[in-house]
Amino acid sequence: MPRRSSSTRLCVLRQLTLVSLAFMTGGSAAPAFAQWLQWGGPNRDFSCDSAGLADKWPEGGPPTIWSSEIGPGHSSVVVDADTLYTMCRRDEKDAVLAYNAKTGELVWEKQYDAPIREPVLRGFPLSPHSTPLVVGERIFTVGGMTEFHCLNKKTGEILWWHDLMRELGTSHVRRGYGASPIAYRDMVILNTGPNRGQDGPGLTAFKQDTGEVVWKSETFGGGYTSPILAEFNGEDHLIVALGADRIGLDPSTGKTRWRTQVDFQSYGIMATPLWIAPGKLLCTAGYGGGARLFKIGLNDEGEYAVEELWHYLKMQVTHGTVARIGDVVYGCHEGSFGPAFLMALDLKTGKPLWRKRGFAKANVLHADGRLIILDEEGTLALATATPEGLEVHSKVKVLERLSWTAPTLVGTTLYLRDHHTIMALDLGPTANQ
Amino acid sequence: MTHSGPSHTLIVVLAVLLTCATAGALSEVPPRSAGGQALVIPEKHLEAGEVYHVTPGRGTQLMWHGETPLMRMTTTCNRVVGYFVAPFDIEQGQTPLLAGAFRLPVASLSAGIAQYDAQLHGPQALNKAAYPEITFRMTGVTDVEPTGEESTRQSYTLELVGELAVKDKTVALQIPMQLTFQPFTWGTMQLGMGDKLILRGRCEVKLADIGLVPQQGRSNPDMSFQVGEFDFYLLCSTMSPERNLYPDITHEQYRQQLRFVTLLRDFDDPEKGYEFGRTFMHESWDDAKALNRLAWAALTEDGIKTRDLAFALKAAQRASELTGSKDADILNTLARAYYERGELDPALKWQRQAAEHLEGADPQVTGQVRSALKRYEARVKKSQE
Repeated sequence: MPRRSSSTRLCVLRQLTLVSLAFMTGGSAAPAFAQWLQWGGPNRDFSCDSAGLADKWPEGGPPTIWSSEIGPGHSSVVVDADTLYTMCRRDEKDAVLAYNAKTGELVWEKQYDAPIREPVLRGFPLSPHSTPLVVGERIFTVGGMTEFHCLNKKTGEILWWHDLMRELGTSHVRRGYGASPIAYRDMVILNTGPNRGQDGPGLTAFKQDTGEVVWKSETFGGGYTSPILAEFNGEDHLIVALGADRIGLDPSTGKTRWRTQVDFQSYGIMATPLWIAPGKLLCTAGYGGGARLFKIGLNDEGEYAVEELWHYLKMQVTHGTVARIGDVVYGCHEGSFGPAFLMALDLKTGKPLWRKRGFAKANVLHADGRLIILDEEGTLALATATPEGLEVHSKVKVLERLSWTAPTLVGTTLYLRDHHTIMALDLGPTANQ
Repeated sequence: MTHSGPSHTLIVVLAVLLTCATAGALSEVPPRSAGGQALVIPEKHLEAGEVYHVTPGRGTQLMWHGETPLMRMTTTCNRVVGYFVAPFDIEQGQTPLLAGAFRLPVASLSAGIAQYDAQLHGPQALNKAAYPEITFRMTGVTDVEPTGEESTRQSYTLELVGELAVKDKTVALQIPMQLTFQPFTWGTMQLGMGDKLILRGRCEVKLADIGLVPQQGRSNPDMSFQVGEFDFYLLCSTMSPERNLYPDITHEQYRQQLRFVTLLRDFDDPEKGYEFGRTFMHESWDDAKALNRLAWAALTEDGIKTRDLAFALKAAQRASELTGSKDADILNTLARAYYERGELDPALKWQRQAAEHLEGADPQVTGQVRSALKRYEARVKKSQE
């Protein structure tokens, strides 16, 4: 039976969402210690409450606050007060990096051996794809070859670690592990699924302080999609899309609450699901998958039931991000290496409202009524997206291909990286000048 | 029994393919893109809908039959480059095809018989030197009928209306076609990425209408066809043939590589091709991977009739020099260059060196290096017997 919510429900999520209450004394509305502690930002949905973004940028782009060297990796940036964290590859090692978020100075770098584990698909960097998670004094990271670490965020000291492939049979899905960890209460939860056809827990929860395994879910195949947390029917749901499964679990126990399967064409899902309160879930998959909206509900027996409301084939977000504004979701359709279209999809009907060429495969981030767009060629844009269309205010090349790393926005500072460079850009009012 | 042999037949056949002096306006078909494997899509067509690029090199795209009581000839082409535009979402009653055009190099038309092909491409027939391409431009569609929907696959029959331009002649065509939209599936992946559009149709064209008429006094009615039947099979994809998926190759390098190959293979123009290749080699003189790709294409790309082995060797030698003769993939190319030149000792030497540097190499490279080494060793052994 579903139980009522407890006071601790989603407490960690709220910790992440409620940024520090300290505000700048200079009268600015921007928080001094705004944070972005996990994949996807405060609500894991690539929308944030930053305010005061410039309306447009100078021709050369927004002012660069700093720019520093970094190694290969798709791991995005998390920011905790004055420090940012990310990961990269250094030859046969993975590295967790801490930079001064204001200056770009490297604060510490922790490397560990991470030899390539065959079979892998070469052609794209086998560098860390997963984004670190910061909780309290710890940072949690997963490398491309499935090494899972808990580090002291101040020093980079490894507090404990697990070899997920060796211990749990976790798959790196041949291109390198890509899902990002999520915190729930005193746990950190990860995708740990095996290769298709093998047995092993689809997800596993570890105690944040000791690394001890708290629970293991039933078997789901390994995948790149990062899990999210949502509240529905007075309960917390851990939601993830793995292979053809779209799953809701009890994050306290790892027990499956609901599960539905889609057609095999959506098996290659990588994009993070989007929860649309009070009870809908949007999943988008590339490689012929498309976008599907599910309704999570209760049947006559009081059991959870999942209904597919619509399926629109031509919004295939492969591993990019989407952003919701009202009843419209904006994202980049990338039809299995066809042309990329930025597009708007009506969540009520599943019909496209518009589509626009001019960008390569892109990530989007929503803040302050604007859409920040970063495409894989390294082109950054500021735009206003409405159901009627997309108005691009500024567009400038800032990174090199393949810029697959999703952007991070804290206050009005945008953090970006590719395989060579990490940078901070000022999107605040000074960018207008 | 006497047998006339292909040469006699071909001379007779080609005798019918003579130029017509009547001038005609060429269709406005978009030019080729920088790499030569796609067309530059007009802005209005990009706005209109989904663009499906014709996918050259995937089987036979065009067959051109000619038949008389005494002979039957089939000329084929698999280097058709073009595009078609369809609505993003086809509503009921809406036309499934909005625009389209394609180009095919005369040099890529082949019956598989060298002498025939040479005459077909020559000044008395299609005259590839003056008119290197045949073009088609869609002007409309009629008689559209949906013929079925299976899963996500949608099919139609229709008549494709357009203009075919051959040399300086343009002829209006109405081609009955079958059209099928096949979105990407894991099953179609072997045909490349992207959603597919398959256009299949055939029509007859009077050769006189496209400027090919029998030469008076030299034709044998039983061996001189007046009508050609064109059979199209155009597999198109939303993924452009010029889409560069490789992160370690710049788009410009990729386009240059395609252009080099297009000139040599599709247009059979070694003069322009190697001239372009030399410029490309000069610009890439310090880029081992670019040089390696250039050399490998010159050595192995299917359909290149004229292989400049000195050119390939020079590029491969420089690539090897830049990498300290430690890159298995590059050494494999260098050995191949010597092998194609008949220089077996250096070929074997460099191939052995390639085999010594396989640690961390791509499995495909590893396989190539090992199989080539076996082949070279066997060849050397045989030469010593």
